[in-house]
Amino acid sequence: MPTKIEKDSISGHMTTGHEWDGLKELNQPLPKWWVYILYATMVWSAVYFVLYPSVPWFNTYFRGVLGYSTRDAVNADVAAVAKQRAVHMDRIKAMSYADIRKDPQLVAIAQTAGRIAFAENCQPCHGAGGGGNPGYPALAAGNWIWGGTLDDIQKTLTFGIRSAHENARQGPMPRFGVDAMLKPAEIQAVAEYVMTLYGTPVAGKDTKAGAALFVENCAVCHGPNAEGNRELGAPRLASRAHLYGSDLPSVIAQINNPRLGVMPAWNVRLDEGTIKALTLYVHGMGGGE
Amino acid sequence: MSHIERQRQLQQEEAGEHLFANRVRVYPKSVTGPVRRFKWAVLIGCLGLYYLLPWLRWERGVKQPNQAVLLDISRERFYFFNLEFWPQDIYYLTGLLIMGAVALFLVTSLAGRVWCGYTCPQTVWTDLFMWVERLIEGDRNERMKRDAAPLTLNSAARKAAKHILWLGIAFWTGGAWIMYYVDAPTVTVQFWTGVASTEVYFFTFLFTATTYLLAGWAREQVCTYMCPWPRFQSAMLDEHSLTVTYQGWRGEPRTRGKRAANAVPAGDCVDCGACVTVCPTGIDIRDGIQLECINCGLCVDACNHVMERTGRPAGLITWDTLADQAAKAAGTHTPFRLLRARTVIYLSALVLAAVVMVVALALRPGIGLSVQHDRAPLFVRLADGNLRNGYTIKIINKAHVPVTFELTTQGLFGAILTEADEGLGPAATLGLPVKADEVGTFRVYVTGQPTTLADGTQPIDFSLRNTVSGEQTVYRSLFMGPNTEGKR
Repeated sequence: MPTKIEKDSISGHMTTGHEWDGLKELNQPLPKWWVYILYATMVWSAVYFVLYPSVPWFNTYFRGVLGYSTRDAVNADVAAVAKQRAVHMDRIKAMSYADIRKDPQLVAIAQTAGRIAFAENCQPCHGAGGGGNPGYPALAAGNWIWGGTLDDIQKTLTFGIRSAHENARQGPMPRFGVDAMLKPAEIQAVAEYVMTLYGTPVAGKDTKAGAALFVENCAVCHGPNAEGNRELGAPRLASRAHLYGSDLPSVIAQINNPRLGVMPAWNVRLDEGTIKALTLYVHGMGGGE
Repeated sequence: MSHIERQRQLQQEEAGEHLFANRVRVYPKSVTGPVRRFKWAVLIGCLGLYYLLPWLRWERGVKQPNQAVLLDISRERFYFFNLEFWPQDIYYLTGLLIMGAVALFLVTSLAGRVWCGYTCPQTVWTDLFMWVERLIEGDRNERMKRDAAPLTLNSAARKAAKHILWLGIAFWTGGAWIMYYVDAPTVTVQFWTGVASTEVYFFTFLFTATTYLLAGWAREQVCTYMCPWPRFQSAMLDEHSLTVTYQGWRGEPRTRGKRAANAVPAGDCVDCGACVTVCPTGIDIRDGIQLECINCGLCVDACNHVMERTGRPAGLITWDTLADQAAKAAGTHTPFRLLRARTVIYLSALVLAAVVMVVALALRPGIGLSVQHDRAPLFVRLADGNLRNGYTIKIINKAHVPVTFELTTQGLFGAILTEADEGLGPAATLGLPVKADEVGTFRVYVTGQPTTLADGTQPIDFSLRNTVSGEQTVYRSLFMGPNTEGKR
């Protein structure tokens, strides 16, 4: 705030009192049209104030003459989108996978719907992009326990694994150690044999005894060549990617007292169209068969 | 001093000042002469270019637009005669803007605000609108007389005709603007049959309104109050820049009428006011260089007529430098200096920018590859122990025909590629088809067994070859795996 109003000696205008390196700013009058524009914006804001929500009032607010609400607008948009989506989701529900794949637009919609459903429902366990977590299968890798065709995936998703649903995937594995079906030394021998199946044998061990025990106890489900059995959910053991770990202690622990993965039946939470979209998405993660 | 006393003092001191100024209406008088002729020529050239350029046709082949200059926003292409720009080429626009700015600096340091006076759209359209006004309402004196007198049927009819004509020109201007963004003949038909897009109507009417308001009503107010250029032009001007100058040493003291013959000493200025009446911004050039002067030089023509009639040498108002004026006042002369540190620096910057632009344009690649590694999962381990990484690959096909591109990798031993969506591979080399004039997006999986994964990553190069033109490009990305082998 200047203490004294100065007049510029040349122009006769008063200065603003600001000075930069000896240069003083003149306080020139503004053009009238400029101030009229300012008044116009004031009028505009007053009109806006009346037409649109403006004054807060305790737990409510003045809604404006037009009654506009951003929340209502969002709800209307969401409803419109849901209506728009329903057309496509109904088609996805009704059509076979082969037919869906013939329609690029429908594939794109299914992929998007599947991606969103995956992020909301599957990602906490299976990881973003289906990368998997210890104990939760990597869906993108294609190491399927219950099968990786579209129909397999849809069935697994719909009824779940070891869920409460009557059609759930069921695959028992005996507790060989805890229930004293095998002695600790025998479990050790089987585990050492299993490790030879995926090329990491324990050095200096003879696995003949373990092999014999495998044929006797394990091959009935996991197959004579440890190729697994998807009907029973018995994983392929001749693999470098194991759900519960590939090192010796992990294998022994799994034989001794098996961990058996559980997945809920999603048909109680997701509609059929969404499950089919999800199936297409999961199948397309890189592991589909 | 008490607060109240201070307030009173402030009020008293301010008494002579008004916070807001009435607009002084400018009635520029018509003028003839070489400067005016040059200004007409520039005006016709600029407007002709602006209005007619969209109509120029340029054959590019089937399914391609045949407009010479077209900024196709919906298809994300900019066509300029033989050149075609993609959104990725946006930095050429930066280069063009840099060149434009530096060229403006250079011209200003040499010859003042010639941009303002001759080529600025505000000046050009204002000039055109003033010509229309003069045509219908008459010249300065006639217009002033009519505006001062009460409205008659005649003057009202003239005003109405003027505004209708102004709006017509403004509409043509707004419409021409749109034609740079959509095919001119097509949009013209669509506009009048009512089937053009909302955007077309919106922007046509928006630019109609701005042209009408700015050139018809706002005029010199834009230059004085809205435009930043007059404010920082002083940084480009120096005492060696040519500007429209009243030669005060020759003109002063001003003498008019009979006194002129006898007055001693007598300057050449007869104080007729011709320079003021023709000025489109309504200033007096005799006050020296000022913010409002757009350097158009119409006062030069006006003054020369008077000098000729009164038998004095022409050029009382002329283009000259401040340095030369000071020298002439002292009876000497300073030649115009074309080469000064300022102009040399501006010129070098301009040449540098132009060379960089031309070289960049000449070496512009016709092939484009972008590889994005999946964020999740970073990698997966397959049953056979191999690692697999997923990538999103984008391939630009600038050709106007479909092209198959060959994709291979280097750096990962025994790498196998699979394309998920199209079901291509697995193979060491993939042939990826991209449609004409489009960007192809592919989901590619690379499977392999890396020999070393120092910190969980190793470099992998994606090579792309255009099977038609043979052009190649390489994109370096990463192949990822577990940090410590066997942990997973």
